[in-house]
Amino acid sequence: MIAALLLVLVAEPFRHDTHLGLKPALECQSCHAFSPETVRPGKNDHAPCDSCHAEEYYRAPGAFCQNCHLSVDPTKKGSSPLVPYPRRAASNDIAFSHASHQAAPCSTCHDQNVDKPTPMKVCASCHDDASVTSDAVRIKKCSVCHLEPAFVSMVAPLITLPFAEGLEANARAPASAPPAIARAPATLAERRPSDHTPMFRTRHEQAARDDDNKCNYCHQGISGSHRDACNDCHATMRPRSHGLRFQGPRHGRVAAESPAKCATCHETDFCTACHDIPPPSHFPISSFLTRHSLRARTNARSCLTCHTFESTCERCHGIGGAE
Amino acid sequence: MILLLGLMALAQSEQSSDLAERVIVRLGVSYDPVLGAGVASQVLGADAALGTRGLLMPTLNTYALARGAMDLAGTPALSLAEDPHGEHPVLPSVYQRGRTLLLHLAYAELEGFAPEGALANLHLRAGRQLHFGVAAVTFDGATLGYDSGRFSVAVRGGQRAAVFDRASTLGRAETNPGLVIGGDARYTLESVSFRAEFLHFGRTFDGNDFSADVGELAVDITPTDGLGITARASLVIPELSHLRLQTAYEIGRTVIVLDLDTKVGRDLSYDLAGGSGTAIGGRRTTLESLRLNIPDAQPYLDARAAVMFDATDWLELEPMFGARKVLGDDADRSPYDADRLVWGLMAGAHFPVASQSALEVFGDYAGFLYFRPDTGTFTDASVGGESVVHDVTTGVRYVRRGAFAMPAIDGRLLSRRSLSVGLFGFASTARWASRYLVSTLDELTMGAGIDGRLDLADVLDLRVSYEVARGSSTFAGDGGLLHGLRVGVQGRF
Repeated sequence: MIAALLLVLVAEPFRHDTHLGLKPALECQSCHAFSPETVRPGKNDHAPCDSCHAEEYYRAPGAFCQNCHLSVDPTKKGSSPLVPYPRRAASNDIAFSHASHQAAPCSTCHDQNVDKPTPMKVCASCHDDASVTSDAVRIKKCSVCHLEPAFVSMVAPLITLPFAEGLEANARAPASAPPAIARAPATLAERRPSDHTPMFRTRHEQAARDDDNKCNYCHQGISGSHRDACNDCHATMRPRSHGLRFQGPRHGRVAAESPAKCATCHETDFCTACHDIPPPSHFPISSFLTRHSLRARTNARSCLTCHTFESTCERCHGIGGAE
Repeated sequence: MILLLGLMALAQSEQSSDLAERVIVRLGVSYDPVLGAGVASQVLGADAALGTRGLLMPTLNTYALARGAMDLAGTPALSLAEDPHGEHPVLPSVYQRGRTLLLHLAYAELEGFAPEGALANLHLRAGRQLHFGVAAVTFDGATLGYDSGRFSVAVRGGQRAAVFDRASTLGRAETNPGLVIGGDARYTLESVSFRAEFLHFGRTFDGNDFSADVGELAVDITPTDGLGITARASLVIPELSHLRLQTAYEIGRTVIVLDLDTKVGRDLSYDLAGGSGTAIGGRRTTLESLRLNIPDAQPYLDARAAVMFDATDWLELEPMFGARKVLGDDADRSPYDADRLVWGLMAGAHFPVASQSALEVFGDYAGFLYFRPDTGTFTDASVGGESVVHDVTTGVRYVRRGAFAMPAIDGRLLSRRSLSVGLFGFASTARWASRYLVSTLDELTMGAGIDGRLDLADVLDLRVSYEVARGSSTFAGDGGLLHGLRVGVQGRF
């Protein structure tokens, strides 16, 4: 069993790009039949693989067989277990029907590297466009594609929420059936993605910056473009750390050590806009002259961020000035 | 212009049911008084985002994002000479008449010049826009690009929009924030992606030329599922600025992050903004140079490792450890050039309370230990600096789910919330050591607050937060309490 699992993990997977680069080029349909059921190519007595690889079927079992089989024992019928198909599931909660997408050319969703999962932004190119797809299959309606198998099988039968009905029906319906989700009003806005844990509030940087970011599917009022990803929210919303006392020494330490972190939101004009006015420690300014000693002795760098010794300190502490 | 396009699109639209998919609206109003410790402000703020997606043309998007604020308490004097007993001004007061309108984004873009073919991969964005690449820059101009997925290239140019620059509001002769011209390209070959970027900043300020060219070369490698490696070399041309290697390895819900960053040459940070300085009695007492007097950091090697994992179904942890070694000469150091160790732990937990509600608990601790050679004199900025810092932030939040509820999965509420109420607190201690102090000085900054959000409808929510914070008696005026209240309403669709 372990050996079989290892074989699945390490065996060279079938290379789509090699086959698509043949002359004359193979079409996807040369091997795949887009029926409602997922059909493994080669299931029909090794057709169509044997049309080109006939010689492999007359050799001792080898690497070629491992494209589909965990092991091969040609002497015993039924003793050549198959590797899972598809080898790479798009996701464990995705219900996708090739049959209902046959109107679109394969290249709409797949590039030459077919083995890579299709990113969700490819789905959005049609399902986020009202001129191409209907409201019933809008990308914001998560349960059109996403299932929660454990939820559907265990919990949904016990409750009667229309959302659950939609999920359940979607999961049980044949792939070619009209989308059951048309009856389900739920959208992503009613259902948080599973990665939105309490820690996600501080970990969302990469998810937001990703070309394939999905923030706008739920969060209304943002542009939805990955080029605006940070500014969309942070231009008008402060991070948790930016409380009432953040403008004190705390921000200076962060800004000096990691200016790039500040630059995620702020351009340098923001720094000088504030630093052109005296900081809170200087107020009331009328008594600051008698209070500045400890500050200067503790952290002179803070003074010298804005002042120079020559322009300020020397007026009193320089030659001829007050001691 | 953007608004006009949006309104025209709305007027021509025949299917109102389609509008929600094609129109972006977000309007928020907040009242934000801060009282105590020498501060008295009542900032009334508003932010707005308006946009359209595919209305006039399937590939045409428009978007504008702005924030305005004004201090109802009046405008403290900008000149200390005018009001030496005045209270500290808050940010909106920095701007003329205590009002500010920050226009962050305002653009129209075409995502594709034709339904099919190569022209479908072209994109053009014109107007005020943010480019977040080798440097974050907002500019008024245009970006033209081609993106086929595997290959992308873009060129951009325009006038830098110094959103926060108050130079123009003070009537300075020099108000030109400068030009930005640049481009980037990316090519993806299987699991390897190559990126290159160039940006030219051109600016003259008070008759001086402060132009700069920056660039970056990067390669992203995904050798196996879950493992991502990024290597970057950034330049302030002609110097090499940084070399950086980042790796992230994802195994199930565990992510291991390793980050190496070595600063080789100078940074561009702080070099592009101009300050007008502060004058007392006609004499300018602060710098009016192009940059604050924050010296460019000495070369260093920074290393950081973090592991993010689920300790249990309800508890996420992220321990972190990092170190910095300054590579420059001791004599050239400023207090910012300190060797340091940093360590921390973030934790997030989720506890179902009942079938419709839960508690979320969050905690974040970070400790810093600094090592500095004491080689400076009083006129040398290398004097001072923290030696030990501890930062703690924690909070607990009660959440109740929305009307379209979905049962909890793995003990977590995954539905939208209808009510969220949180308590939070923070404390920061720092130990300072200086040759001019008889003994070390410890400062404590701390605060706490409560916030809440109530969804009044699908498109409308009410937000309230209150914070009280005590500042350092050494560095923040009298060290007394500051009270801040924020009340806001936000609508969006």
